[in-house]
Amino acid sequence: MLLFPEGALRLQGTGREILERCDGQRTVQQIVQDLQKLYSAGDPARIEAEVASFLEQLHRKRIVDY
Amino acid sequence: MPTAPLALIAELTHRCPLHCVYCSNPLEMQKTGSELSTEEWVRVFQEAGRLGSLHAHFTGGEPLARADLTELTKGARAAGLYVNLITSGLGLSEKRLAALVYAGLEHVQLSFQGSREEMADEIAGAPSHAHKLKLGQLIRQFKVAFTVNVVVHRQNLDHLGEIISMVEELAPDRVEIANVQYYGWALRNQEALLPTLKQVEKSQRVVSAAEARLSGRMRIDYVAPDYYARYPKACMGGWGRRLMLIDPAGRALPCHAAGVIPGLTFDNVRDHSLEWIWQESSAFQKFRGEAWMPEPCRTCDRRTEDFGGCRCQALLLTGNAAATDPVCSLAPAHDVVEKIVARVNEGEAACIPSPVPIPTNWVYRPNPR
Repeated sequence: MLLFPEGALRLQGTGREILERCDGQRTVQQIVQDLQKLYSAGDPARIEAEVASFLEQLHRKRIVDY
Repeated sequence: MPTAPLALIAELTHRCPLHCVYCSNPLEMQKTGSELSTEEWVRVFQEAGRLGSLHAHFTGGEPLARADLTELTKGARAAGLYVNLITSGLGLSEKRLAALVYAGLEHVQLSFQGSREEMADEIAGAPSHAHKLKLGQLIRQFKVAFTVNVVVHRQNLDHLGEIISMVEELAPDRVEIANVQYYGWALRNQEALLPTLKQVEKSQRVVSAAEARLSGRMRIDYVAPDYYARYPKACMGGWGRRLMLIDPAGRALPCHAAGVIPGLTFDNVRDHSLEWIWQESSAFQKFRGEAWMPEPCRTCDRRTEDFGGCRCQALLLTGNAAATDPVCSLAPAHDVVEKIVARVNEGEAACIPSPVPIPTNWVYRPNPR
């Protein structure tokens, strides 16, 4: 679970894989590369787009900064 | 029915150094001598954590009035709860904030009554605005999530743009711009607080523009007044569905206002487990499900979205807690709300507001003994 003021997100699957890597050290690019390796059968361009979109949504909600 | 509340609202005390004219505390407040002890609260947090609750919202009155607040924070954190402090800021110093953050505080929500000191202090019933401004800057220096909450109404909605600018300088992660809701003391002062339709429409435009401008920097959550809505709010996410409030004396309530509903027995955490109260007690069962719903709610498509609106509001405006919330345009008693709205829009409020605050006979909440 990701907790924030007045709300919570249950993280599963790729969302969880992305958030677990938001550790204050990794760059977005490193996270994208990690996931591309993890989901090697997937389309790398699509993985990059989905990571960007996921993080952007959380950024707008002020849950994640990058 | 969820097996546990998502969040516990810990109404730690009704004591408060302020006397805000819109306060949501009940008109009959709990005396200081009846407050739960530190140990009792910590046990409640442990039960909530074991049940599966995620958040603990520390509120009041003013939670900082509790000398044991640091211990309570530690206890809630140790029970696995995300601790949120909802505060006026009065009683908070750098030293105290540091102690709270170190004890596990995750989030501070700081209230403001406006952007203009004289009016803000009048609304709060005590000098407070200047202290809040200083505190805002202090909080930013700590590793804690920060929300500013500004309560808006007829007396300050006209300068909402100025209010948002003030909040921007404080740089919280999030601002909640909350229109007054009419329970407790707010209902007593409703004549002077309910905004006009023009004010509500203009404020929505101001908020939209600010949201676009501040996207990614500051999140804006705007709560519109439900008297002007077409359908009611899903109050508290439904009766006994998401939230449980424990009042200063240990009474478990589905919300801060439910004490006004006659014929309900609210059980006390001193006598029963949280689990039993949530799952079995008659008060929490009373308005769950659909069997209690009158028409039009019972066959309405929206009943799973808004649950027929707010029970306490139905009671306060119609005398019947089981009635459709009268703010709903489909409610049989909707004319009650229409009359109130018409009065506000016809009267002096319709005149151009003067820059000097119009003197008002506010009803201020006292401090419980």
